[in-house]
Amino acid sequence: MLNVDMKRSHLEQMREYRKRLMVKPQLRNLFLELTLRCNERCMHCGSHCGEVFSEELTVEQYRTFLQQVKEDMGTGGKMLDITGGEPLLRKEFFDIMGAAHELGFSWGMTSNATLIDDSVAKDLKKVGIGTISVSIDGLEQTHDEFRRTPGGYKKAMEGIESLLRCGGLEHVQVTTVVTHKNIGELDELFRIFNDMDIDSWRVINMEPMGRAKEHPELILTPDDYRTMFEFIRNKRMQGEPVSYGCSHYLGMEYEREVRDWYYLCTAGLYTASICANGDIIACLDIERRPEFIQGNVLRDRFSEVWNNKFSIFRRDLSDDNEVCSKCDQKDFCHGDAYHSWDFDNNRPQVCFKDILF
Amino acid sequence: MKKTLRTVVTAAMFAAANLSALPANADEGFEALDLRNNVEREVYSEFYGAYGMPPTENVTTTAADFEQTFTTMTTTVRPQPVYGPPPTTSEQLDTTTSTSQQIETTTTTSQELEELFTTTTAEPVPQPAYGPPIVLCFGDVNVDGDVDSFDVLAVRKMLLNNEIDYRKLRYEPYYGDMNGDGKLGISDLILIQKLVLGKVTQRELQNEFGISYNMNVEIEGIAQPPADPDDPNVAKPIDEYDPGKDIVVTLYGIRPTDDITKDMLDPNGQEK
Repeated sequence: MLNVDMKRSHLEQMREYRKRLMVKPQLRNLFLELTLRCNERCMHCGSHCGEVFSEELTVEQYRTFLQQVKEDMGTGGKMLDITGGEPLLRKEFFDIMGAAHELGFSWGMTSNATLIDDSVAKDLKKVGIGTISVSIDGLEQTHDEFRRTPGGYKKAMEGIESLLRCGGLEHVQVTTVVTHKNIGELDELFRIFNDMDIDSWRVINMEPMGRAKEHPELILTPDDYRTMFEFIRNKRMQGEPVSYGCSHYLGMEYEREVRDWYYLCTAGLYTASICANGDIIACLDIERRPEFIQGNVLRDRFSEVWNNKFSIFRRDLSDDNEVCSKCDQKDFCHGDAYHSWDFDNNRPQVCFKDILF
Repeated sequence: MKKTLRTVVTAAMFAAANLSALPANADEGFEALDLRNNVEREVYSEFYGAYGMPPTENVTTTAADFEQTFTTMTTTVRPQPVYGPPPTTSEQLDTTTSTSQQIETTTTTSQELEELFTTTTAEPVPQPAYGPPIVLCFGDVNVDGDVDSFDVLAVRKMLLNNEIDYRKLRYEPYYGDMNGDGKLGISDLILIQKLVLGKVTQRELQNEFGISYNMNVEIEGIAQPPADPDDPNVAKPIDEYDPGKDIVVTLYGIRPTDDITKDMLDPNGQEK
């Protein structure tokens, strides 16, 4: 375990830094939800994607929006994070990303990789893809059941191989959502991924949001959480590129040990998102409620929205809950992640107090 | 999966944290004895150090315990020569002899303390008059019964920190004087490291340097040079941590590359 005094000192500095960010936010991640359509039906999907009607921006609307962002805020230090649904279902995908690339934006994407072959991988390279994160949620049978897509695992693995074969990406990552059902497969998954030439493996837990709420039996138990974090820590001690995601404050035991940074919910501080219909929100994983929509790129200038709105995200959620406000960790957790906050009852749906610390 | 500089640094960070935790463990490995009566305290204060390792658990001492504790039995087994008659010594007269080997046993029981510590050995070896042979303690600076990495750390600690109260920590620097020069220094640290690593044996060290037993060994502290702030290998003070330079990987997000970090900062390290 790393030095606790050091970690506490760093977390205190992070707390002060976060306060400064609330006053002067710094856009680093701009998510573009290109579509809500998806060719898989994952049990854990946070946004109910699938065969749904998707109101989508046109190529020209994206071009105009990105041009404005470039003029007002520049492209340096910003990353476009392309997601969906499955973004490759957009038939104008390469036109949109070609426009972003021409404007000088760095970009990466999240994909299930089932639509990627050598030809697509080469096209992605042409339009300047930098990084990609592909979802593999278990061994073959588990993955296919979980994503309710027969053959999905095989296609995804072939997609990853195409990406690696064609090269040109700065970072190829595999992301695994850990559930109560697949947690026993972590060792075998590591063995598989370790034989591949990927750059990192992100291991995250299933979050109680979206479609996942319909499957409470898949949510991790306290023992599962401890097992998962120990697994990640042990791999990192061995110098393996395994990391937890950005969600949740983990307490002194695991902070900085299972990922390269200290907990910081970046919604509205580093991160803004453009929904498929152009709505401007903070993080795509936060529950879609009308009060969280800060504007729409079709009628609002993004930079003005970013600079003058978002106040609902630039505060401590812990102030809204009596238990959280009295917690001795609230200075570091601030009420935990926005995406897992229960806004009806004003309480966190995921809190690792009494589980990890 | 690819190991990168980042992952290697992460592993090194864990390794360094584990290593730095070792001295603390070494300190904790030996708690102060709870001596419950005057007899125990007197015996401990008078003979601790001369008789090697102190007891590791608290006991209520009785006269019978004393008798049992200070009964010393020394057994020497001497191989028979291949040729010629077996050697004859004066001790043989009082020993039990078997057909294959010669066993000499001297048992001393106590009535008074002077008698308790009278031990007869069969052959003159350069051992202390009382207590366990010094060879067992050679290098065992923290007196825990083993010569291991904790002893290396104990010596390092004494050399690097002149202010350390090694008596409180139950360190015995004279067991660390491996070269018998009456000083505990960097050369002794190197010899203990070699001993722990198995590159030399206790016997080889004793043959080289002899056996010393100097209670008043001098500790030669090592002056540490001032840290070079520009040396990347020198750990930076924790206050220099800058959260703004942390790359936070968002839930959906893709890991921004290190080049992004450069983009975020101008040449003076200021955020754009």
